[in-house]
Amino acid sequence: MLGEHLQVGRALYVEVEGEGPDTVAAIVRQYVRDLPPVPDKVPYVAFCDGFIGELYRTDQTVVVTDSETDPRFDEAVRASWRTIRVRASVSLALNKQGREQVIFGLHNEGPRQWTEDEIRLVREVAERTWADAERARAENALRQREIKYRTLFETMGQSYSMVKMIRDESGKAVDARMLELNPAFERLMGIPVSEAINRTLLEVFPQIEDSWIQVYEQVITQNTPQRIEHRFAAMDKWFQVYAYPVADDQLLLLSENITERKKADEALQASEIELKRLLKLRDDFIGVASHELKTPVTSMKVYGEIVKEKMELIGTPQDADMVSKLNGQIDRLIHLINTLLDTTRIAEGQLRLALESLDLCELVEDRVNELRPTTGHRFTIQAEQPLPRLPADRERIGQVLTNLLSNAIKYSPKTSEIVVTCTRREHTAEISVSDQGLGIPESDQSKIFDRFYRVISENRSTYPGMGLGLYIASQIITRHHGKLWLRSAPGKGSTFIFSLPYSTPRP
Amino acid sequence: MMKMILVEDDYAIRDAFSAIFTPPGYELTALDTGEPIWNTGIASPDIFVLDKNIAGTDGGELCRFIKQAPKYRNIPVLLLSASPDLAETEAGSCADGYLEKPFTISAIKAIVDRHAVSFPR
Repeated sequence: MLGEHLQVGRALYVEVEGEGPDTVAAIVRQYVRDLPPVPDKVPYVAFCDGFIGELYRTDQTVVVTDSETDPRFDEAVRASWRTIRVRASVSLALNKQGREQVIFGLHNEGPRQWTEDEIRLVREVAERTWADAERARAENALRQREIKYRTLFETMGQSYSMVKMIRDESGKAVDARMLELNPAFERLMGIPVSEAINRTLLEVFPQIEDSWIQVYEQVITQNTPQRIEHRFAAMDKWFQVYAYPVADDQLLLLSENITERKKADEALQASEIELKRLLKLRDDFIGVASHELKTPVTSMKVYGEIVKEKMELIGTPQDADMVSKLNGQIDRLIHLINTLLDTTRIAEGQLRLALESLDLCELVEDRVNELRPTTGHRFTIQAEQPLPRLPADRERIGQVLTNLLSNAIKYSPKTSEIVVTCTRREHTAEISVSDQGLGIPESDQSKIFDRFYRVISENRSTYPGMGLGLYIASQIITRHHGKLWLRSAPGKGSTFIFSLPYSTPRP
Repeated sequence: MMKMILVEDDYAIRDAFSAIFTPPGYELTALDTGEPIWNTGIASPDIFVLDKNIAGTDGGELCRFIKQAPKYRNIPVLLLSASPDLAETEAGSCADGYLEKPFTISAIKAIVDRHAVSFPR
């Protein structure tokens, strides 16, 4: 328009893009009358270097009457102007905040004396053109966004609905009208959007639970988005709904069908309950069975003792020895039964402690002395300073010690040394039992305190047992608020250590 | 001679008692139910030994009955159980002493003798 009005060869509206020597001037719009169009992108420096760029940066209008004679031009820029056949020009840059520079210019093929009015007009038109271009750009962006959201709305898997609450005279929400629905609504609910839009929830779903409306009401009252898992009994379906409060008593609801996930969860829960029941059944069985075993073993023990006494009086030494072995096996059986009972008691949280003020190192000596005659191992007890007495169950801690000592005996060469230490720490007493046995691979160390866990040796028949001793020991120590751990490496023996606090922490 | 009444429904335990508590030191009456004590009455012994779980009657109940009967109430009662937590049960609190199964002969003799002799009459 302006180009035509002023009878110029070409009018340009250009955006400056990029930085430094790579800066280009990109043509946004151009009007050509009797000059050929300028290429879409040209190097900025070639045409605008020197005084021109300087004036652009300072918001001044560049007026050129004849580039061929204008002394401000350097040869390179003058040559560039020749390539686009321009000698006279009025141009200016709009330095808009936060945006690329925009250049507006008029070109004339021959020299031209520009009037004041023409120069002023160029600035006005440039501003207006910029505003137009901006509006077009914003509209375009909006249109792109609209297309994006529309696509999302139409294709998303979740059902989108915008609802507005319907209230009775008292203001209580009684229903909600569906104002907007996307195609996923139909897939989810099996009702065409056209049959549901602008109708209320109760009209479309007469069997819907009242709780749905109440939860939506709550979202609006609290004005915070909520994730709701809801069962629609009439459809036998579970829905997950994200409800976002929007202005004007309206809610945006994003819903999906989670029935399958819910059913899987329920099945999982059911099988967990069943598993717990079976584990309980197993523990109960072990408990009842071991309890029942105690009665016959009681009379076996009584008769065993009576026969032993008799054999010592009237039998041969071999007879007495055999009865002695028989009694030893009865005691072993009793020990196994007690181990099983302890296990069930621990599983049911029924392990009771009878705490007394205990000299731990004295108990260590007692238990070592009990075991000394039963084995060829050499025992060494190292106690540098006396331990303070501490609250503990003598029988139970004794059981732990006997277990650790028996393991040391069982898993180390017959005449090797077993070292037991009593160490006084700041808050705890520490007992360690070290053997020179096989050692335990690191992969087994974390599992060794598990119920029924046994390290598999090359020849498992050498080491009988149920894999319960260390489990019970660790449970007993834990109940005392202590710790039980080990240091071991294959071929380097094992050290089991437990520590007990001098005072029991208050619960 | 110490007179003892044992109530125990397991024949093998009754049998074992009769092997331990023999004349001339002891006179044992071994019953498989507490019924004669409840109903018909029985000559007062020096000590009662009751199994905690007798078929038909609970040893604890029988213990409370004995402790309330004028005829028996000054006689010591020992409870036998396979459970180690007897001391904490109601039955355990009724009895004068208790012993966990299995036991050694020396342990049962010691506890029986101690209670039968030292119990105030």
